[in-house]
Amino acid sequence: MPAIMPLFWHMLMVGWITQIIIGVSIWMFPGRNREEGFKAQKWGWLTFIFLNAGLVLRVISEPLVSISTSETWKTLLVVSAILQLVAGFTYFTEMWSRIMSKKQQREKRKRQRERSKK
Amino acid sequence: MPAPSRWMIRLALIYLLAGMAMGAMLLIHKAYPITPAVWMLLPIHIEVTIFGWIIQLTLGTAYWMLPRYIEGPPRGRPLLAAGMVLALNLGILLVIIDTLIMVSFPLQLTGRMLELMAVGLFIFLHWNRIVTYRTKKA
Repeated sequence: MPAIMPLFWHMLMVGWITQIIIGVSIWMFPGRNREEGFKAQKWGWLTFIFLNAGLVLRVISEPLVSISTSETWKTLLVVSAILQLVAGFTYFTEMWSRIMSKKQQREKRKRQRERSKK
Repeated sequence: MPAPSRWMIRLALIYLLAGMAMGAMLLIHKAYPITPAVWMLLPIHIEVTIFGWIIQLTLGTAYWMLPRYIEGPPRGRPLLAAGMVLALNLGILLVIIDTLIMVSFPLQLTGRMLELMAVGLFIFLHWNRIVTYRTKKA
């Protein structure tokens, strides 16, 4: 039972709250790429894949690590930790340049328009 | 996006990475124990992810997105907003420092008071911004 408590908290805080924040911010923050598809929105897709793969692996392996000595579960738990951290980095990469003032946003749009004219 | 929101959202992203790195370390320690001292990271991981990431990003985004005033400064007094950012982040740092080092000064309590002050400033700044622009038909 004690092995279940961290899972409960992380399914709530990572699987629900953090994931909804990430999803809504990718949609609502300025500078979104409106083109659809994996290539156009690769950092968002990678965040989604890494975060959920990491969390699912954790849900499977963490309780088993506490009751088994198998190396498989230990390795999967390490992989889950790395995947979730990588999701943090991909989300950071997507968002950092999108945090901008209205003036910066206007300048960015102007640059994009000039580039598309050429 | 106004400056206080940009500061808060950028700091929230940094706190997210720091919190996730600490969480990853704790998880790896569960599989392959590194040193018992790793468990010292648990309260910092919780502080950083809840206050530094979730709460900070929410407050920063709300400051940016809630309806603005039609007259005067659009989001209230900018100095109070700067105070909100400063109080929240100083509070978080003091709570973290208190976890890491033993001092006779009540850092944890001071940190929590600063966090409370930041929330108080947020409420004060936003109370009158929770409005509708629609007017009743006569």
